[in-house]
Amino acid sequence: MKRVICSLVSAGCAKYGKREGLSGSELFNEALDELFSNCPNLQRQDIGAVYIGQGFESFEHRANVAGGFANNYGMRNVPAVRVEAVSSSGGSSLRQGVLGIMSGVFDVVLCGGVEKMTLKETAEALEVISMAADRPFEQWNGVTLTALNALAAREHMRKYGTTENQLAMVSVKNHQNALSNPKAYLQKAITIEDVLASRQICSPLKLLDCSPVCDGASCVALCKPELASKFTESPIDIIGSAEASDADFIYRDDLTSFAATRIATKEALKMAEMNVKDLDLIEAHDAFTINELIAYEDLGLCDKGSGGKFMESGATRVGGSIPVNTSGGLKAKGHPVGSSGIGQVYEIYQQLSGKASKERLVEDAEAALTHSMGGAGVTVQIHVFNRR
Amino acid sequence: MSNQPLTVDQFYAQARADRLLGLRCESGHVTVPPRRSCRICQSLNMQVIEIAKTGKVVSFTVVHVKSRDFPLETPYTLAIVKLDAGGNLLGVINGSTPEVVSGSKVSVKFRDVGENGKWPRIFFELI
Repeated sequence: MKRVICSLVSAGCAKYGKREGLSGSELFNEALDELFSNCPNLQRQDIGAVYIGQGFESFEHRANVAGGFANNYGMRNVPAVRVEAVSSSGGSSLRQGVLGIMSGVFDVVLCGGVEKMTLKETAEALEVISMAADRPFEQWNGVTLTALNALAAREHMRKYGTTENQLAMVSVKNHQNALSNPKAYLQKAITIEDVLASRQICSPLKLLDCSPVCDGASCVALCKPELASKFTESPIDIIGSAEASDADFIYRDDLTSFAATRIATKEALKMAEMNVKDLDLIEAHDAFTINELIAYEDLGLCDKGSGGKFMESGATRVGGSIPVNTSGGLKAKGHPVGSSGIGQVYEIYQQLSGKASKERLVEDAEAALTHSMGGAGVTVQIHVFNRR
Repeated sequence: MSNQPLTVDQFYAQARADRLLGLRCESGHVTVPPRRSCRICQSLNMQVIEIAKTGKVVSFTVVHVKSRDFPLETPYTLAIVKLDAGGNLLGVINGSTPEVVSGSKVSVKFRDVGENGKWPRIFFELI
């Protein structure tokens, strides 16, 4: 019998996209409406603490979102904090919620994430997102987050023979998966040729290698394992949780692998008493196509350097041996920075409770993993889920 | 008193005088850019040294879409360079379409660009 550290009893997700006329707080309310309607036995007053991931306060000129957002929805005076680790703010929010339950202090917690990005023009949005990088030595000298991932991509290509075609295949797969996800932003099938012909952003990464600027919000409710049956007949247990960090990109010798992913994966799988091959599906960080190929390697799905070939094998498509990013991933579902890590858990909830649309459903899935990454490998959270 | 062996401001002030400073720990590892601990062994016992302004391109990208607050026009070629003495720097390779490949030898040049020049910027020249 595996040790259950906490249980996931409900989840909600606002539709990702350009959500004109709706603020981050209003999108978060949309996600909360779904979470509570998915789990009628769960009441607002059951929530002992609220954690909300938000990557950047500059998008809406609003920090300190957690208290305001929680009270906006009538969770009056609940303990509430914002959690920030750029693209893994959502993963961090989940991690904090898991720790809150494990500590014994709270019976039930709510972990959420939000980002309202589309009020900004692209160049301004990039200025904001580049805050994920070191200021005096990375940003100051022309770095964007896309550029750091482009440096990783070119080095992966040089060192291991990875091709732009293989990068494009990630995007094609994730766009295909997004077609049947009603929460996804980019519901448009694309071809490898479309990716290769899209305009250069930071060579070798092109527009269709990059996740879109996007609005979104999501939330999940976690509780002590022994309380889960009070809320739902079909809880999903969290059996592994780990987090690791790394130095800023400029200090590293190996640009083609993210140590924080490797370390957190090993720890989370050990806690879950599982091998990566035991998993039925994975939601992995794919803000840029190269991230997904590197994630295959760092998660242990394939050997170092063979991520491109693993993509070509078809193993990570729906119907393959280990589907990755059935939601469409950050690439096609969308990447509202603070929401993304919780949005991944929403997809696991949909999949393990059999609610995902049949085109992307992984049949009889029992075990799943989420991989959330902030910056170019600076912060990573890994969580392992198991259907009870 | 700060135990910071070399502050960012001190690094860039010396860069204006055309000197590239780095840090060396007791095991001889070189850390550039400056930070509190050795990037290899995490030692806190760091000594400031002047190092050669030469290195090799590890990877590069042609940036077509940049951050709004970076003053150069696009496209520009951004490279990560492994310094011969150890440590890395990121910066723009001079010239509009430089013939750069992984392994290209470069030298480091510091130059002020833009109105808000708190620090000079890091550039590379092919040698």
